Amino acid sequence: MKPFQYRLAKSVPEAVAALAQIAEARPLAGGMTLIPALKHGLAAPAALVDLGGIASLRGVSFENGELVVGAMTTHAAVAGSPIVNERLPALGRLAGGIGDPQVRHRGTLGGSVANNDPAADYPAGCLGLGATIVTNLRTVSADEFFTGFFSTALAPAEVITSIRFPVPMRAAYVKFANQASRYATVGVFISQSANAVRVAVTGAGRSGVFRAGEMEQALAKDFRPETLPAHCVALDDLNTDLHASAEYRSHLINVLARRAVEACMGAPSRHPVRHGGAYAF
Amino acid sequence: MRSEMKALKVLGQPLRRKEDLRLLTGAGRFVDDVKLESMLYLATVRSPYAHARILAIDKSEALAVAGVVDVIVPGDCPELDRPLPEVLEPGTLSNPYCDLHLTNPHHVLARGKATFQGEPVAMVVAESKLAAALGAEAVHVEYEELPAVHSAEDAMRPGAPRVHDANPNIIGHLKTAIGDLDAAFRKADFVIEERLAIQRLASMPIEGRGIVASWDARREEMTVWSTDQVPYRLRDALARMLDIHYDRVRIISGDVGGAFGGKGLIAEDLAAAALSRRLHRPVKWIESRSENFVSAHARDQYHDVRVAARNDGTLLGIDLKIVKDVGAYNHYEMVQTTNTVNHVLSHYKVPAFRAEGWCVVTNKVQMRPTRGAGRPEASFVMDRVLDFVAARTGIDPLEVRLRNIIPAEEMPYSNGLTYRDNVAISYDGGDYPRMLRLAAERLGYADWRKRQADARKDGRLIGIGISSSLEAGGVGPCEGARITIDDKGRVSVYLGVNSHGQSHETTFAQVCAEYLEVPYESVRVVAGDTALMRYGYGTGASRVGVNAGNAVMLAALALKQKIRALAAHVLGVGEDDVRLEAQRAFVASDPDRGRTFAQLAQAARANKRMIDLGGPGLTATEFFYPETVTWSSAVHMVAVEVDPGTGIVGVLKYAIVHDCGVPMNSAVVDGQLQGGTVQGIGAALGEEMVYDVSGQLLTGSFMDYPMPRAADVPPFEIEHLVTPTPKNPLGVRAAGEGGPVSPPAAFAGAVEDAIGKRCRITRMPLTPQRVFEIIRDAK
Ligand SMILES: Cc1cc2nc3c(=O)[nH]c(=O)nc-3n(C[C@H](O)[C@H](O)[C@H](O)COP(=O)(O)OP(=O)(O)OC[C@H]3O[C@@H](n4cnc5c(N)ncnc54)[C@H](O)[C@@H]3O)c2cc1C
Repeated sequence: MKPFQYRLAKSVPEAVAALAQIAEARPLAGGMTLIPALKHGLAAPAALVDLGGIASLRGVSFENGELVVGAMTTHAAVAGSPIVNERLPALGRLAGGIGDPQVRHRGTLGGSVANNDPAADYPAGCLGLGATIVTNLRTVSADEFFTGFFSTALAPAEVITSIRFPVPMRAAYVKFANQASRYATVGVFISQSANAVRVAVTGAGRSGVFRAGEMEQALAKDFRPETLPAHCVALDDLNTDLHASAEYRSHLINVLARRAVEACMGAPSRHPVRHGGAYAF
Repeated sequence: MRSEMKALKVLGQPLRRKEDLRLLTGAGRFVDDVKLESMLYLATVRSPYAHARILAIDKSEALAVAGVVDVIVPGDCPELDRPLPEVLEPGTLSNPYCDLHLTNPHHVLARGKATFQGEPVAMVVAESKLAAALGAEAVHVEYEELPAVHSAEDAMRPGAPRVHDANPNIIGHLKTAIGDLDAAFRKADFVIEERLAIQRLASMPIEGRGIVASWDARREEMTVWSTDQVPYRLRDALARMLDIHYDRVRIISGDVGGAFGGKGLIAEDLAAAALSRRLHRPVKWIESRSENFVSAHARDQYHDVRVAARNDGTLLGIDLKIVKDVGAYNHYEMVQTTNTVNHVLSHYKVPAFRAEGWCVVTNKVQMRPTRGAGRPEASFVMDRVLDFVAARTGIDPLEVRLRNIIPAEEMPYSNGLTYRDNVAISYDGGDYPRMLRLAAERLGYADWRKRQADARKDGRLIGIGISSSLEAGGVGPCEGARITIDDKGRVSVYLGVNSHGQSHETTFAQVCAEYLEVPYESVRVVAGDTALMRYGYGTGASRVGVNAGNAVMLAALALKQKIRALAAHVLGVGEDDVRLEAQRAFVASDPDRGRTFAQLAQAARANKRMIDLGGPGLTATEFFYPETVTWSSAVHMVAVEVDPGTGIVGVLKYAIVHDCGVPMNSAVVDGQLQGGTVQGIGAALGEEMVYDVSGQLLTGSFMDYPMPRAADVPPFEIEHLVTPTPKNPLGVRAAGEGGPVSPPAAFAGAVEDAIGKRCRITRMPLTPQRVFEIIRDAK
């Protein structure tokens, strides 16, 4: 790890100013991604501007039919939030299934979404719900925000302040966790609202989170697991790595999408075997 | 040897561990906690390539980094221009099977070429950890990449590049045979052939390796704090390198956060000591987790097995060919492969058996043993064979085992093989059929068979797996113990073996309390310092309980004898008239006339009676030399459910029946068994060190190398049988390594049984993707 400057910002304008002033400065949220990147020499910013002291970036509220979550809200806080679990339990469960307890108590919504790891869970939640990303400069729809592998529409020195999640009629997220990291090897988020069905897939795509259009159309016509196509994405567009081939991922997208639809329909899970619980590994 | 089975009072009790208060309150002291005045830090420059010629090393930029004291490359430091000492010099254990063993010198710093990714190429010593790390980054090495040998098959192919220019890639060979194998195959109703593979994996201690070496120029003595499992080997190696008497080297190992076989002498150990003497300052090196991933691996062995069997499920013969990929260097002769050969027949009678094995070098991280050391491979082969026979004959796998098992009446049983200490193998008691039936009972075998059939109707996949294992342990040559009673009657036990989590402070205090007949609370076990005991042979190979445990017992009995003799003298009676009870020696016929142990300890300081009793003080030192190993045994049974959609394997129930003779502390035995089994589950379902064809490690961190976590682990139903061994006075058998031996085999059987459709599981681990592929291909 190379030496760097550290600034603890007290407000968003102060943070933005610091980021704009110092060349190669980066915001620091929970540090769950950024600190390991520093340690392994994958990132060497000149300064870290810590957003941890900005109280206004934390918390959950329900406003105008939308759930509003501050960028610095930890995964554990979202998972444990009564408002989230009442209005949008699928999002609470998504947050509660991220990594492990240590990661959930440090990692934040803003950090996760800004990082747009192709195997992260929140990008699927944002895209699958049609969320709006709010920054110090503007609002961006999730459809426009996630622009590819580890990349987003964020400009330099732009800071996410909160994310607004519309509340659908029903929604579910089903994840197949990588045995080692517990990131999503594949995760499928499905929501159904009065005018649309959205299906977002994370972990599987070569360029990060994506919407599965064919699945959305099939479910918009008939919201039942049987209607889902067996393969909805060309194998060439799917990741192949140590843990899962494109073929396996394609298969998992279908299996998890079916389970997500079943979950939306309130079917009790028929699948006792799951990662990170029930003695499965 | 075991004269009377006395009723035990302290030994075996699940007493609270003496080390827990310290460890659980953060008061443990590990190597990285050692901070000395003016200490320097060492960092290693490692080869990024698996196989590359080193053309030039430019250290000028590194030397210019603030805080860097020196940069060491080959030739800079004559002490370091040497190979690491072999752990087992060829022939050390008179391996009865091995007829080829080539040693490739493993230099402290790569000479001319690097042979695996992570091999030390240069070292930087600096004023701080950061400066050392920045200095290491600033060392510029020019490499010419060479084609890498990435697997054993690759290494053995004609025309393969050589890992070491001086030797072929096959560096070890062994063979042995019993019975008439050709006749077995002639008589067979059917023959099964398969290749069975156990993956490359690694020990994953919570604490990595580390060393602090501090040279005292005035006294010409070296003091070292180290995580090494065999401190005496480190002491001797440093003494040889420094060319001083080994009494001038003192190795201290305080608390060590796990080792599992992987913590042995490495380049940084020699470097830290050599540099400390050169620079007259203490030198510290602490391994990072990333370095730990490329320091030592284990297993990576495949087996071509041919089996002759009868339609009634009985085995006639096994022909086994073993190939072990040892990585770039091999310091352990053919111990692991020999262990596989000697454990593969397991609880079963096999009239004819032939084994041949090869050790092969590749451009991968060197092998060290890891918990189980050749035994998980053995159980995997045997239980797979029995399951294949069951599938082929249609006989239930449990029944197939009962038809081949060694009956209790045939104990002690000799199968005709020879252990690696050159003594004929003899299973020293135990009741294998009873263990198997008990395990089936504890699992609820018959019930799971019913549930399996019902679940199948709903498309759910439930399966049962069985594995039996043996654990030969307690290999010599010996261990010693010294027990001393002070003027207040407090007891110290000194040992020559250090602990990395095995509860020595507890279990050996129990042995001492039992046989010296003193309160457990008054006994303190002191170990991990070569200045206290001059000889020790290491904590590994499941040898400490047997060796050190019996040494403590012998020392306790010897000390009691000394107390009796001194008391007789002081009290003016014959030794036979003296009784010992409640830390007091008294006249049997007149119990009021006596002396406490404390009083006798004071008397022993100057009393002339001690002339014949070994000199002053109430102290006794004894060594226990085992004749050969003793055999522990276990049966694991698991019921699993496989998710056909994802390939995830979940545990429904896990039962273990285990016999390690007399337990020294039953809770500690349970802990060893549970922890070991969890390691085995990791190996069965997830852990694998994966390389690409260029020899790059793809699983270099915990983001890609899965270890089981607490929530992944099922409760274990454990039942202990206690068959004391006649091979040592305590009656103890090994308990350290048995846990991980059976899970791979048990899970392979269970998953195969769940999927059905004549699928065959032949390699580990059963990751979800692999299970998915097996299901796909079974259709
Ligand atoms: C062991 C482990 C397991 C994990 N498992 C999962 C998992 O299962 N699923 C999952 O989704 N994630 C997982 N994560 C990631 C984790 O959940 C965090 O969400 C992630 O590390 C980023 O959040 P952070 O708050 O730690 O951000 P940081 O690491 O502090 O920052 C990440 C990046 O975002 C930038 N950034 C941070 N906040 C803002 C902001 N408000 N505006 C603009 N830019 C910002 C930073 O500059 C940096 O580039 C895992 C991480 C670890 C270490």
